[in-house]
Amino acid sequence: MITVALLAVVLGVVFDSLIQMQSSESFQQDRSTSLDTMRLTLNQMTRNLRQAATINEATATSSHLEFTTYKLNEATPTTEDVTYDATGTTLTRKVDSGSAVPVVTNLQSTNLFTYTPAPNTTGVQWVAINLAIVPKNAPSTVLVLDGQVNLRNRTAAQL
Amino acid sequence: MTRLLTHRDSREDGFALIATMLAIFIATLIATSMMYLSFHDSTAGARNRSWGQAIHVAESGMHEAIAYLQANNGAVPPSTITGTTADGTYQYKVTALPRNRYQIDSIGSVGNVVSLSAARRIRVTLAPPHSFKYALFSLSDVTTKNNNLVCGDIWANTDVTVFQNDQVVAGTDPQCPSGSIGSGSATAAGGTITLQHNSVVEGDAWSGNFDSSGDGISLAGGARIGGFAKASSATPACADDPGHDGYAIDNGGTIAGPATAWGTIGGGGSFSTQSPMTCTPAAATKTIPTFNYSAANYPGPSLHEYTFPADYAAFNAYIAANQNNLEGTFHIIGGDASTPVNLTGVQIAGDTTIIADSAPIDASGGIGAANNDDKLLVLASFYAPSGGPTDSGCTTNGGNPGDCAIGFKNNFQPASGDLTGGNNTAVLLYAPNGPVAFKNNAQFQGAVYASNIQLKNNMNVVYDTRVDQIVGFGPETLVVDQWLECSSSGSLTTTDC
Repeated sequence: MITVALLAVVLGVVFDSLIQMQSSESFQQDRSTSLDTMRLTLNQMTRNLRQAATINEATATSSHLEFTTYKLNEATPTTEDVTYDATGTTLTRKVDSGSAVPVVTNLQSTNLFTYTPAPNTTGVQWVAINLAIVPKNAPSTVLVLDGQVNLRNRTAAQL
Repeated sequence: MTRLLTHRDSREDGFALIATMLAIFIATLIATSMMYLSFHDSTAGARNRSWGQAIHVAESGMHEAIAYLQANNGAVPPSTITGTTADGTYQYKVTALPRNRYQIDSIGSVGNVVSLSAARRIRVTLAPPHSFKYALFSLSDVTTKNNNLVCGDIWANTDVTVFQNDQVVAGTDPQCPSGSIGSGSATAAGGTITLQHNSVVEGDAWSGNFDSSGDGISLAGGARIGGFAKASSATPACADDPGHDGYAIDNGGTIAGPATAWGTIGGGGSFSTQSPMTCTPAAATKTIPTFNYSAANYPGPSLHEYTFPADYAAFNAYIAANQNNLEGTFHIIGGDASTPVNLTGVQIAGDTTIIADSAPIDASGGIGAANNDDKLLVLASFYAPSGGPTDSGCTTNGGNPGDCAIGFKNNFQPASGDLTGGNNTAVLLYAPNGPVAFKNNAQFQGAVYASNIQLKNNMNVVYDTRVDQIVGFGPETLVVDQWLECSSSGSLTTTDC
């Protein structure tokens, strides 16, 4: 009887530790996946934005960004329209008239984009992006990646 | 019985061991997974840093390429150049393109370990800055007369008058060559817009003052404005006319878009919507793009410099000898009205630039194209008439255009055919200190930028984007015209981006 009781105590401690480890591992995995997604999304956004030909300033908000950018791998570059839209907890990406594809979920906020004009030049010159995600397995944690893009094809970016 | 108890005891002894091993196994699995994730995070983070740095290293190469071009008067490096920064290494290659454009390909590489390294490739095109967007640009007024067609937009710092039956149309109009651009708008930033009988402004009409009748915009019978009509004031809050005595729209024709005026709107013509007594700010007046001459901008073998009046005869002899196949760059230093650059009868064979520092440019017997090749004709005269920038001595009345910075009479047609068939020659006429005048059959693609413009008898001009970026014009010689990130799998010699 005593042995069983002691064993129960020991197993309880062991399994509690295992549960904590498993929970921690779950969080770690979720964090890692979220970071990967955020990095990929931010890299794609900055890459597209950096070479944007124009930004649709009439529709630009903190949760909506629409711009025309150049395609890759073309001898004579042509353009495509890219739209990012943050609604609820999801950020979607749309190219031309295609369907909107979710690229990031579990957004903490839809306030992603901040626009800054250059001195002596009308229109947006810099776009700051703030991606904040709440991993589902650690609701009290917020992962943040941010970046700022200088639009290279705008007048003020010229040398 | 003893055997049974003994057997049961031995099975219970093994339970603790199995439970312990199971717990250790699970813990090991979890720990391994966490270690893997931690390693993945570190690797991904490191590679991401390399990826982010690589673009800036590539840009370092681009900046060095630009510095090289500046230091060598536009001569391109003979081969690929390699350099390093604190973050990585770059390689760049510069390719000279026609008409003072350059393509810079640069690759930035960061990191030595394969799994952590990254390389990115960019392609930057340098070109003269955008300077010329209007078909006709005048620091004062623009007045058309007798069968004129403008495909593109008109800008005047004072008044715009479209003579009866004349048209200012969008590039999409059937009368314009395929590929033409422009909206067919007319802006009189500090003046009025007048459309005479049956004339057309296919785009918007925007005025910034009013005439003695109080009209900012007036349309005679049959005239038409295809876009909006806006009679605005340059004074904040239209405080210069509290009684609405001016800035009126007098419409005897048709205004297809919204009509907005600080004054009254009337005239009995056709409207869509009307907003009288509504204050709108006038367009700010514009300055003419600047020009800076540098011999380094032009290929040495084709650059000719003459100092007038000493070289006047030599210049005329050269023109006479090459009249049927003129091309190259001609810088005329000095000169005045007594030593005009006379281009009568010249046939343009290739890119031709004539810059007259103080002499006027004339052609009373026409200018044509020697072939069907793509070419650019730039005529720039800084001649300042004695009567000022809008010298009344420069007139299309009577005989030849008189005291003009640039004056053409009879068949200024540097084209292989009519405009609707397209054109092989793009023309920029630039006269910041004096008027440009056309008389009798001027027909070309390009733009006219002058202190004043006078048109008469069958003048057709189609805005051509080839004149938008010409070396020497604008605040800088070269700017980044296009910045692209290319596929990182390509090399410096890859054609595709």
